[in-house]
Parts: sequence; structure tokens; C-alpha cells
Amino acid sequence: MTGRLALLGASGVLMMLLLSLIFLWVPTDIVLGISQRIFYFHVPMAMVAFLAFGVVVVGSIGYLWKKSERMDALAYSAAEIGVLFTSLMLITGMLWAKPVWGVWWTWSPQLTTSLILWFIYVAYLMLRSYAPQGDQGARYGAVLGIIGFVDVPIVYMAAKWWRDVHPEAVVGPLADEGSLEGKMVVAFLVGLLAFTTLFAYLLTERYSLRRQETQVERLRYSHA
Amino acid sequence: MPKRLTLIIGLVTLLVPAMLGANHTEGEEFLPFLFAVFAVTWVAFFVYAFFMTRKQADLTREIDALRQSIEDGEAR
Repeated sequence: MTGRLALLGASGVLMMLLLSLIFLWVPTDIVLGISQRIFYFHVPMAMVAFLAFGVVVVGSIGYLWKKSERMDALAYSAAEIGVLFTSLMLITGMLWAKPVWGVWWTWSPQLTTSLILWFIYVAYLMLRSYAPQGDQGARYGAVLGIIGFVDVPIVYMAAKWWRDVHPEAVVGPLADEGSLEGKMVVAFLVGLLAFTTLFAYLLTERYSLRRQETQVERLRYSHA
Repeated sequence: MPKRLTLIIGLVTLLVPAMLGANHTEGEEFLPFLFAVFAVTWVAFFVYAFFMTRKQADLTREIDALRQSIEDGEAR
């Protein structure tokens, strides 16, 4: 409990720091103007969503390999939080697209593949809800969780592989050196840390809740 | 769920941009979009936290009911 509180407190402090950096410290982008500040929320949330789906893969492989309920609970919890972050990535992206491109949505490769990613993991959650309880549902989910992750590198590479209105990556292995100004990099890293800490907090909370759900479910069946 | 702490963090992170943003003059027409991003993000996290808290309460209720039913069974 103390560890969880520490994670929540740390994400709160980092979030305050991020906001002060966004509004008081980072320079305004010459081309995109003030709307570029959405970047410090939009991109870290996208990266944390990818991280969440990476955790789904680890949990799913762990489940298929060891038949560990803990790994299944980890995969399920990460998928749920990943969907939350992907939804926010899509919404904040639309709120950025409107002032910059003049439209809320366009079927560009990166946007389309991002939406497909959201659909894949929403399907994962639906599958877990409607599939039979226990081993069978967990096994189906694990397979979908692993296959679905194939879309993550496609989303990241989309702007490079196809002609896209969405800008190419300015952070990460694909980014050109110096594509982001020094202060912007610092604010971005603080944002990434803030959202990663928030993700870790949410994951621990959801994981313990999922474990309780499974135990109650088992109790209910053994008692019936 | 430490609800109070979550609420405080959320409120402050919503109010701070509103106060700090008031000093900006350049590109003011984009400010509503910027605030909308912060608002949507925090509302989503609040809704999710609320959903988890409610689930936790339901589970606690169910555990109590199961315990009661086991105790009743043993008493018979």
C-alpha cells in the first residue's frame, strides 16, 4: 500500500513539474505555435500505451508457458490500462489535429493503424468478458494479446513507411538527431516519466483487483 | 484507492494550466484545445479510478456475502 501511495504521489509531483515546464519553460514552436504543447501529453501517452501492450505480451507468454494466473492477471490489467492510454492518445491527437490540419480525423496510415491497435485490444477485453471463464478464455486472450502486438511497430513505423500527413517520429530510435530542441526533450522526458509512473500505479491497483476478482470467482464456484 | 490524493492531484493539474495559461498571449486561439487535452486526460483517469473503486466495493460486498453464507452453512 505504501509503495502504491508513493507511486501515486510521485506521478502527481512529476505531473505538476511537467505542467510548469509546459507552460513556463519550453519555447513555443515556430511552426505549430502553442498547440505543439499538446505533444508533451500526446506522445508520452502513446509510448506508455505501447509499453502497456508490451506488458500484455510478457504476461500472455508467461501464462501460456507456466499457466500462471498471476501472469494472466498482469496481461489483463495491462491491456485494460493500455486501452485507456490508447483512447487518450487518439482523443488528444484529434484535439491537436483540428487546429493544425483543420480536421478532427483523417485516414492517414499512422492514425488508421493506431485506431486498429485500439480495436485489437478492445477486442481482447471483449473476448475476456464473453469467452468461457478459466483456462480457455485466458488462453484465447493470451494468443490475441501476443498477435495484436504486431501492430505496435507498424504504428511507430507508419509515418516512415508510407506518405503520411502525421509527422515522423521525433523521439526514439527512428528520430533524426536534433529534431527536437533541448528544452523540449527535457519536458518530453519528464512527461514520459510522469505517465510511466502513473501507469505503474494504475497497473498495481488493477492487478490486485483482478487477483481478488479471480479468487472471488473461484470461491463462488466452489461454494455453489 | 487513495481517492482524496487522486482528487487533489487531478484538481491541481487542471487548475494550474488554467492559471498559467492566462499569461500566454501568442497563439491564444489554440488555448482551448490545449486545456481540452488536459481536461479530457484527467476526466478519463478519474472515471477509471471511480470504476476501480466501485469494483473494489462490489468485491468487498460479495466477499462478505460469501463469508456469511459459509458461516451459515457451518452453523447448520
